[in-house]
Amino acid sequence: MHEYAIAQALLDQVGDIARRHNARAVTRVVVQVGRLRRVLPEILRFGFDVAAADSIAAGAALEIEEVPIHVRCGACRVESNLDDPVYICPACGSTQLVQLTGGELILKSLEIDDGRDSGPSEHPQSQ
Amino acid sequence: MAEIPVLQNILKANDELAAQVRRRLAEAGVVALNFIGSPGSGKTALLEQTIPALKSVLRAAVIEADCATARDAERIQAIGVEVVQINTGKGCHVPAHLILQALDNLSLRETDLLLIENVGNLVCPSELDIGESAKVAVISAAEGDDKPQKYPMLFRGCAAVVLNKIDLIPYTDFSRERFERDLRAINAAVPLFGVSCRTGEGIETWAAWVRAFVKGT
Repeated sequence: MHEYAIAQALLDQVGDIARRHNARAVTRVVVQVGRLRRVLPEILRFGFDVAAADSIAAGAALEIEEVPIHVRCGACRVESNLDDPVYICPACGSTQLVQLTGGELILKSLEIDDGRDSGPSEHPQSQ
Repeated sequence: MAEIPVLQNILKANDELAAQVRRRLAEAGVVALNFIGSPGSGKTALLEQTIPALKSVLRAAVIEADCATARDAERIQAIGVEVVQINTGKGCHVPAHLILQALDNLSLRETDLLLIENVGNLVCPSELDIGESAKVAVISAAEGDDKPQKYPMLFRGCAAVVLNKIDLIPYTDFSRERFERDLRAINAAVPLFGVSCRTGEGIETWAAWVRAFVKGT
């Protein structure tokens, strides 16, 4: 159920940014979620869709990029990805691991409809 | 259409308020522990045991967060320390802005240690910074020994683990060996305290850790 709280916080932030950019609508939202967060993508997507319904992000596509739990071993210096949160170095068995990624909960980017066509029209050629 | 790069923490709004809480506590010289555990793990009972054990050396205050009722706050009041009750309603955790409001109702200058009892839940409270100095995981033997692997965010992110109700272990399938093995796989170095809030076993060792933590922070 923590996905709903995350979806709400995400939409609050998306709404603020969209308004600052005078967006008509938000069409796509890209987030990065670390594996340690144990977020279920389908529940986050459902929570996002429901919470977005009456907002500027209604109907926006939510893209979820999963970030692996990436660690560096303090003993053998090898860097590895952990499939499960078992903090034991796959190379040497040490538990002296420094976590480099995996705890992310990040709004990476938005795509907005700002009333302009994308592409060349942002740099209109003078005739 | 335009693509806007953001790269911003989704919980930024909460984190900024947590930073305000942290600043206010630091100014007043208060160390705050955030107790996270399931409903019924014995979080309130642990506070009831811990505070008297520290009474001669530390001035404690408590924030109680629950979905409803002031029952926990009444229990804490009975041991004679300052307590503020927060009701979160449907909220499954206490966010930083409610802690910030609660600080207004506490005498922070007369406090060394603020104990915050979060809403009973192993997931959401472990995700949210509320400006605490450290998180403490409270787990009871009656819940089973499989919790560390199920809730890695909490067991990875806490400064201490309290295993409560150890007096019940003989009557359950709880394996302390399995629990410790799983816990160590998540967090090799975290101190683990086996206690019984019912018999008082282990409380002294745990309270000594709290005292040392407050001194060292």
